[in-house]
Amino acid sequence: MARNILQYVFYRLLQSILSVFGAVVIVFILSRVLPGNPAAAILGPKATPENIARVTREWGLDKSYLEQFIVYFSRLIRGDLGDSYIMGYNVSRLIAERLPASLELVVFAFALSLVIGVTLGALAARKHDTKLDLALTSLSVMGFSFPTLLLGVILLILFGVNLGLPVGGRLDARFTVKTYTGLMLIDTLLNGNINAFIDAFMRIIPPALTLAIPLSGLLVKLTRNSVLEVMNQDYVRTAKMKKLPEKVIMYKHVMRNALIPIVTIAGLYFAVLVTGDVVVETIFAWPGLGRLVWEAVTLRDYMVIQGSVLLVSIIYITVNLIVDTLYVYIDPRIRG
Amino acid sequence: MIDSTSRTLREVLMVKRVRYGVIILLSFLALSLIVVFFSPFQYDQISYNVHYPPLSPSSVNWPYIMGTDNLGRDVFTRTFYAYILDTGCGLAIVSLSGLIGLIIGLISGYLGGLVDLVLMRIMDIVISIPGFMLAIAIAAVLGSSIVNAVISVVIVTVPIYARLVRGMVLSVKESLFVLAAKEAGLSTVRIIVKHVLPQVTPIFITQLTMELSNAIIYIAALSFIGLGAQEPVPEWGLMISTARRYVREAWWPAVLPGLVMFLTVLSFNLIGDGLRDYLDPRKKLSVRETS
Repeated sequence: MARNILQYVFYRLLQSILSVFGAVVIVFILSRVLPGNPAAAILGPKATPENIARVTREWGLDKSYLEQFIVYFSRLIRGDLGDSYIMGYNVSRLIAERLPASLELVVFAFALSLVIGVTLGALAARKHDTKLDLALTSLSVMGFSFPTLLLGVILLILFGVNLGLPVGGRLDARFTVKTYTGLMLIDTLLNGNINAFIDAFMRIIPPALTLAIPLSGLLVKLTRNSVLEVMNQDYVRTAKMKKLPEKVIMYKHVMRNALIPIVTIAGLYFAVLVTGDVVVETIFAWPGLGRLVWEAVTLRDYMVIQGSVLLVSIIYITVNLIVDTLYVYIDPRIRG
Repeated sequence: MIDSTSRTLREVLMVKRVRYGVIILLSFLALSLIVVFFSPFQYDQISYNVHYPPLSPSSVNWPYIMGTDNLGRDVFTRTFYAYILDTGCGLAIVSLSGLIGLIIGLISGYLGGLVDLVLMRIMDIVISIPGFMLAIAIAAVLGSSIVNAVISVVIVTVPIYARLVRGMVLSVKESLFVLAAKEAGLSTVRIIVKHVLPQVTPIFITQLTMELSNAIIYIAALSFIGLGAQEPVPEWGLMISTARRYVREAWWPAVLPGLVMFLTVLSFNLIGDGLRDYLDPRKKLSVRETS
């Protein structure tokens, strides 16, 4: 049995490596079909003949496509995504600066949606076929259909205009916080600055909710169905016949087993959150990776777009790999 | 034939969700047609005398039912022009990528072997890159326009259908009636068209309906970040993107088009969800990518 797991994990690992390589190839091809001279496209409007010559030399743009790819790939392996001539930095550095903000937002939103989704979903299952269940199920379909665009704007108005709370960005400019982890909520606490922490906390809520509500909608539905399925199992019926208190049955027998598929499916959606992030970060001026992509699109900075797409793909593929591996350990039925 | 079609239609409409979805769909379609033919305003008609602040949606400001935007353009007219544009783009996306995916899936599943291996590895790679990110990369290369946005979403969504169809073909391929057709000496194309395709159709159409709302969200999101429709084209994502800049002064040019977009997406989700339950009562979970 153990060998089977190892084989499966090994196979998935190979597959993931192939996918990453495929993503690199696709991004490479895209960057070479840019209209006009690729060097000029990389440099943007600030292109000078000297710079074009330099970029052509740096990336081997006058050589064959195979040689160009080797240059591209060998730089990539060293973690070098090239220089952005438009933003004036190395792309890897730009991304590294922005990544913690996105990570913080996405993890926060993910936790939020797990709490909301699983609680309401379990509630709907316990009260199944009542008015409450119907209300929760309808709400979940609505939440799921809510476009991030609309939700973001509504929460921006609700929090920023109606409630008069601080919205936009990660922290008010009047606070100066020394960076330890890059995660604002933790950094403000490490600085011992409670007011800054409160400010940062209030600013993360609206964008996190925007990401969390659609995912919660999905989780409510999944949790409800999963819990209902487990509640019909024989061992739950036995527990009920033994007259165990309902709370004990719910927590010890039902939830524990019902959560397995939920956690893994939610894990897959963690990666989807990273994508929805572009719109949310744009609306809330959140200085993360998504906002960087938007800025790059606005400035036509193809190097940055390309680097971000590649990085997000690698994160996405890695998370999928981890989730699949976990799944095999948790649920032996998958090991085919 | 016609009898059985109309009976199926009646049965499908019995599903509550489908009925609600169709009601929203038809009323929005009617509103759009009314706007196109009878609206007193053009979608790009700027009126400088109500330039700023924008008129709010109230009976005082009749006939500006949904108020005006920062350029004095009628929000109602623009929103329902956008309904035609966005659902049109959505339809174009799902039909194009559905068709390409259908062909790839049929070939891959039916022929098998090396063709299948190569085609499916390519699909695996495309699907392993987050869809919206890949669409951004492609649209950025092609240049900002609504047509290019449609093309990029088509490329990104082809694997969904290719994989779905391939899987179904594989399960149909070994069934008795296909084997019998093969024994009878029918050509491969004929077997695919006459015997395999009809088996695949219902689930395929359901998937198309579900993906329609995703396609609309993709187009709006691409336009929102500046990679789709350009001013003065009435498009939901672009309208929200422009209006969010002065959202503190006027909420309606951002929120109202967004609400119509939400209801549109909801209507297609309801129809698709209901269709799926109607076709396959066992499979009630829905797992889709949203952005």
